[in-house]
Amino acid sequence: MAEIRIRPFGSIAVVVALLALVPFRSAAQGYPHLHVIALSQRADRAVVEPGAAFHLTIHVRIAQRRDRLDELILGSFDNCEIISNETVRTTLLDGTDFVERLTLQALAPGEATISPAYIDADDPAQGKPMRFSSNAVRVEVRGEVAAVPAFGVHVSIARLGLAVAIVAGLFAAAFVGCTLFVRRRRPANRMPVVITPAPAPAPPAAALSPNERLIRAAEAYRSARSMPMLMAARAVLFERAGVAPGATLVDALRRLGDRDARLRAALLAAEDAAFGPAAERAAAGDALLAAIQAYTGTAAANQDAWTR
Amino acid sequence: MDTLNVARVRPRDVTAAIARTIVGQSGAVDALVLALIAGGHILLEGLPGVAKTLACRALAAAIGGSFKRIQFTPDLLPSDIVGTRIFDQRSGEFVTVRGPVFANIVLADEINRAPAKVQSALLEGMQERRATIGLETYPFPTPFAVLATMNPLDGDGTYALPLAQLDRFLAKVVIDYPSLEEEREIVDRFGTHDVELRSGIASLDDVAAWQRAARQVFLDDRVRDYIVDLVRATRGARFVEHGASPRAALALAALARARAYLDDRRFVTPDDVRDLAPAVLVHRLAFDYRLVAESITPETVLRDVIAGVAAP
Repeated sequence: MAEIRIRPFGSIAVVVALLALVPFRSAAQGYPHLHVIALSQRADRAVVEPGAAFHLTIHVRIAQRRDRLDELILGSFDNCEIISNETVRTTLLDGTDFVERLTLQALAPGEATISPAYIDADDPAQGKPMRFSSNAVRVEVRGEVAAVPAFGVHVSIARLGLAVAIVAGLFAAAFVGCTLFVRRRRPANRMPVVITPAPAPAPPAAALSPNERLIRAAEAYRSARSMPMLMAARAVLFERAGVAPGATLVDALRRLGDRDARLRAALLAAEDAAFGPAAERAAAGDALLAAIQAYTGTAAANQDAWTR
Repeated sequence: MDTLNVARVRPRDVTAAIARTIVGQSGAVDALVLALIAGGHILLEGLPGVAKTLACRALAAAIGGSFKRIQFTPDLLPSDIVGTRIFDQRSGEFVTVRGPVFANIVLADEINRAPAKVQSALLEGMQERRATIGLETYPFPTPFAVLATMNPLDGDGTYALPLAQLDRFLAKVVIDYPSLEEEREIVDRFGTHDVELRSGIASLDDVAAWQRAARQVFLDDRVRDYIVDLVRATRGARFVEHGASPRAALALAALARARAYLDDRRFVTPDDVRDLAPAVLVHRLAFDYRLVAESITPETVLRDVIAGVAAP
């Protein structure tokens, strides 16, 4: 089953750590034995606005079974920066699939470019060191930057006001931080504070059980019958079957085998809903929701949520 | 979709009928029927004696169509394929004699053994679906499919087909040796009996209805983009000198629609595209010298290219 690790700013650390390792590897000439079957990267958007987030998916398939892939060297990120990353690893019969999903933020209008990622390895298939490189990715950054107009006295005043506001905000944040620090270090014999109970925040996606995530994805699709929601629900189903993003229905069914007829039915229904004719999509979507309901076994517990 | 049910019989009836004649080779048989539905031509590659000719004859018989086989040789002339005008002494006039290319299913055996001008005559006919004899132009019968074979072993004395001409073939199908069990069954079945072709399972009208219906199979935009991404990924791939053309994308879409129709589906799935991509793309790529130098097969290169493109 795919393992998901969410590591905010992890990619930066990975890049720094791996870049630090490169000279050592070169000097020692001790590349790891690795046969890279596929290495590609693609962005989910061709055009983004400045400041908008988009995703870069790096897909690596190797012929060996590995828990982690430290050898992957990310390319340089020009006019965009990494916000977060997520790694999904799928162990295959004849290797391992790694999908690194980076959330990036576009910066200035122009072009955001991500140079090829690569892996240096001693390829057992070739019997010699090889560099496996991916493709480069270009994303057009188009649109206006939300900025203060840059002319006249008004600009200076506005900039001054903005600077004052920022400084005041920093002071306020420092004051709140110091107060909290002092209160935490103080002994617990203080007056009880009455706190108005607030609704519990939604747990992060990784903290949810797979079934809960599937139910949540299905509910999201139920409330907003859009293609992104449908594809998100389908992605969770694929994950439940043990395949990575970018796989097909046959991959998922093959991986599933005869293990779970209900998940199989849900996967088939998702395919109908995702790629069937638009005129039949509503009915296919209903069938998908019913199949997910049958699979998750929530008929009794969440009857209200599932009933139209 | 009502059009799915216009035909009297389903294409699967034809594949089942051919399967009763030919032992094994189900993938190749499916490919022949898919090409028929998609209205394209197929390049068959296989060693002698693996039932290439029999498969073509069985297909023609099953759809009630005419079948002609042309053995390509170095001394073949274009008129041997297309036809010619001869003088009839009884009537005292020139009459047109149509060549063997005027058939529903044409087996062009060892197409690379004939020189370029003969290959061109056939390939031009494949594209235009008509031939000019003398001053008259004659359309080929419909459906019309050329199934051309190339022997992968004997390269001496052959004329390699240029990439531009290979591009006209919808797909390349490799017919491999049968399995042990299949080979035993071949000996049992054909050792004592003549080959029995099952004819008239479907009609030519049925085939025309299949072709119309297949063209209406739904192709989602994301699956279309997947097709285009796959074709574009061949350009600039490792070991590839020239990638696939836009015609490859058209061929992949047409075959994917045909396969969806063959499987009684109303829409194309990413699996249709991914499964058919090797057959559609492999003969359209030109590889550089490193492929031979490093003993890598085109299929391996293509497999990597396909694995590198994420399905929707």
